[in-house]
Amino acid sequence: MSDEEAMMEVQSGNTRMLSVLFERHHRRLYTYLFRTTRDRDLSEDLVQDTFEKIMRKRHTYRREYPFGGWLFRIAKNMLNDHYRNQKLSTVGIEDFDAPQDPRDVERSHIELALMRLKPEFREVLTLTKCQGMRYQEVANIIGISETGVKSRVHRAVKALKDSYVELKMT
Amino acid sequence: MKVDQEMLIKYLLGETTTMENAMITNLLEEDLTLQKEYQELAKIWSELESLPDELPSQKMEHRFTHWLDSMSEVPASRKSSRVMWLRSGRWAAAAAVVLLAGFFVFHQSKSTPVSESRSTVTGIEWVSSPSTTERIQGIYHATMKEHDPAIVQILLKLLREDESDNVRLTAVEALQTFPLTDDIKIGLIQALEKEEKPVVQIALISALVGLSDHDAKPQLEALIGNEDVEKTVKDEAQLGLLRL
Repeated sequence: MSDEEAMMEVQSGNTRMLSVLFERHHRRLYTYLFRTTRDRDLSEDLVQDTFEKIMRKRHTYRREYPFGGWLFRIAKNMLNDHYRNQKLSTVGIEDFDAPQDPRDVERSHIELALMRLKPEFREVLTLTKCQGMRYQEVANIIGISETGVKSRVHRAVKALKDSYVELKMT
Repeated sequence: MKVDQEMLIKYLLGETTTMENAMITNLLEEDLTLQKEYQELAKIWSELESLPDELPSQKMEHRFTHWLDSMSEVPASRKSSRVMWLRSGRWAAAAAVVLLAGFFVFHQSKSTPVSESRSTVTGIEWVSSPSTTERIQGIYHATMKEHDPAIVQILLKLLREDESDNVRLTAVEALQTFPLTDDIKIGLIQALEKEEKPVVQIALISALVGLSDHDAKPQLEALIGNEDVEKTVKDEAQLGLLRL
């Protein structure tokens, strides 16, 4: 059964099918949120909130929407709401200079280099490279133009390389 | 045309034109500095792709399951006793097995010829099947047959080693249908020592208490004193100790 069929089942009242969608997507959604926020507890809360919102908004789903894109767009909106409530338009880069979680310290240079980037750079790199999404899909999720995504990816790659080289030299 | 880092990034991302591609390829062969720059970019890009997914805590999955359970359309009387339901591991585990069994019986009668489905579970090849469904199906069929001590060993192995919570949960329930032996008692206690998933922990506690296994007391006390263990599990262990 495809994601879209499973979601249609949820919509028609078989709410247990949501567990199938959760099983298929919660890790990649968590990965996206964690790589963007660098906050494990917040990311787990947002995954839960996203699925709760899907349940509340299930009547708005249409079969022609790819479920993955819809899921990530809802998650992104939840993330924006969170930042808005926190009165933060974005999270400052200075918050990410040093990993807080001891598990992070052990990670590879590439992950540390990624961690040091601005959240919006981590976001586009995670979505395009790690999640394999096309620019158009990412544009729909984060609410900017496809050209904007492309430009942001280019700047993110450059920033990642600089961050990586800097780490290697220390 | 000048080939700078921006152009190399375009090349890396496959966004250059055919003409640009040809030119950059030539330049990369001739210019060692450019070649080094590109190799660094390509290495970083490739490593980024190989990053594994992040792992959320088990708590997250547990929280989702409980929430979905509360959303299910059940009679109001059952909704109001949700806490009791969660505390009753035996009930939960039994319900899970009944549901699974029902599902398989329904599924097989509807979509799979009986002879074909039996062929996948009559041997013990199902134990190593990569499919969770087949392993659960295997347990179900194995316990329907005459009690065989060899099956007990297989169930204990699944309880110790299987990565699926549902398989371990089904194994706990299946073991309780066998005549009680020291192997089963020891196996259940050892599994409880190692188990981290609350739903399986609760099923194990319930099984041990149901078997009046006093040897389980130290393990129940250890759970109560462990700050990493969920409150619902501690409550079940506390209740179990009182019953023992």
